[in-house]
Amino acid sequence: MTYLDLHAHSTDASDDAGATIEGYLKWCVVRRQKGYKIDGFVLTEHRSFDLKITYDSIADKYGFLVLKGAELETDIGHMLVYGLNKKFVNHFDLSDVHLSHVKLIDALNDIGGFAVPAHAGRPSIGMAAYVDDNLVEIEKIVAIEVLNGGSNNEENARAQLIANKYNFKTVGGSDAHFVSSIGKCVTLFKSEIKNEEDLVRALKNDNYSAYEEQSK
Amino acid sequence: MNKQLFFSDIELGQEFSDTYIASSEKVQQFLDANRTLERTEIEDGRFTSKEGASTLGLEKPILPGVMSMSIMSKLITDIIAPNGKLHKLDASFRRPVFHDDFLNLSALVVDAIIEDGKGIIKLDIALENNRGEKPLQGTAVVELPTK
Repeated sequence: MTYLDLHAHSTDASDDAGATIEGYLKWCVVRRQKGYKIDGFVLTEHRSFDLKITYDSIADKYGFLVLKGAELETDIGHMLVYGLNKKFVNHFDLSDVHLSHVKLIDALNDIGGFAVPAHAGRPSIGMAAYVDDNLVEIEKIVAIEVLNGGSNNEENARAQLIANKYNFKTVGGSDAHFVSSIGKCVTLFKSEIKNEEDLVRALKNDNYSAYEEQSK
Repeated sequence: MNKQLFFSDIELGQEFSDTYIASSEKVQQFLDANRTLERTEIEDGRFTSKEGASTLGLEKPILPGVMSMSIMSKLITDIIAPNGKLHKLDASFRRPVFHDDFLNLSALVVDAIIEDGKGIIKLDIALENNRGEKPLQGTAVVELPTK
């Protein structure tokens, strides 16, 4: 089993974040010592993806997994995207805040990637309102983020209702911008995940679900 | 006056907290004491009236951002007083703080290191309302005396 926080931002590329990668890793150590389940996190910086950067060395130093994705902005709210490559990055203007969710998902499927609507229960930047207005191509969605560390309980409950209604799989992510938020919400995978290929394979094929522990 | 905290008193994960009720009366007092906010207030009334707030799509009047920041600042300076130093305070305003919100203030130690012989503490700071939202989140870097 693997417990991964699928949604985090850092000072490396998100201008509204106040946490460094090493800060997150130190805090992961603290959380694990306190008994929380966390094996790593995925950096999903806003509207950007650095093909060259790798965090393997520092991640190994602390004994956690640090993977890369991105949080992009589409016509149905924000989307977490995983399994990005050069072809994808060259094809899309990641800074565009009105990307077509249909084109985005199709392009990700083409390269073997995966998309998850983020903080799905939140107004405007989540997909809830767009679902109500029939603007979402439901059959293209496999999983949504129902546990988001930046959403309130009502918004996360709304996301869970959408997941139940459309039989979506569910993921959890802290949406951490600051050190102490990392791991607040995670996704529990039944399989072992060691890299981005494993993550996408698991998101497409495995059983997994959003997971949140009570405060210890 | 607070008992002085020293660097050696601090542990990773240690949390300092307080509470604050953002009453309309306190907001008015803050506005009265901060005349630089007068211009914005005259223009739309977002900080004092339900009507002014509603024209901006807000359900209730809100606190000025600098007031939220000052509430947070007080928690930090209370922690480090009297001989600590505040090196940096950085905040991100993520949601509005409404009048009468009950706020939990927190400062969580996320790193503690000795730099150039100085005891440096890094804190994650937050205001959390009773809806489970964190309208203000940020970081603070403080220096505490070493023994």
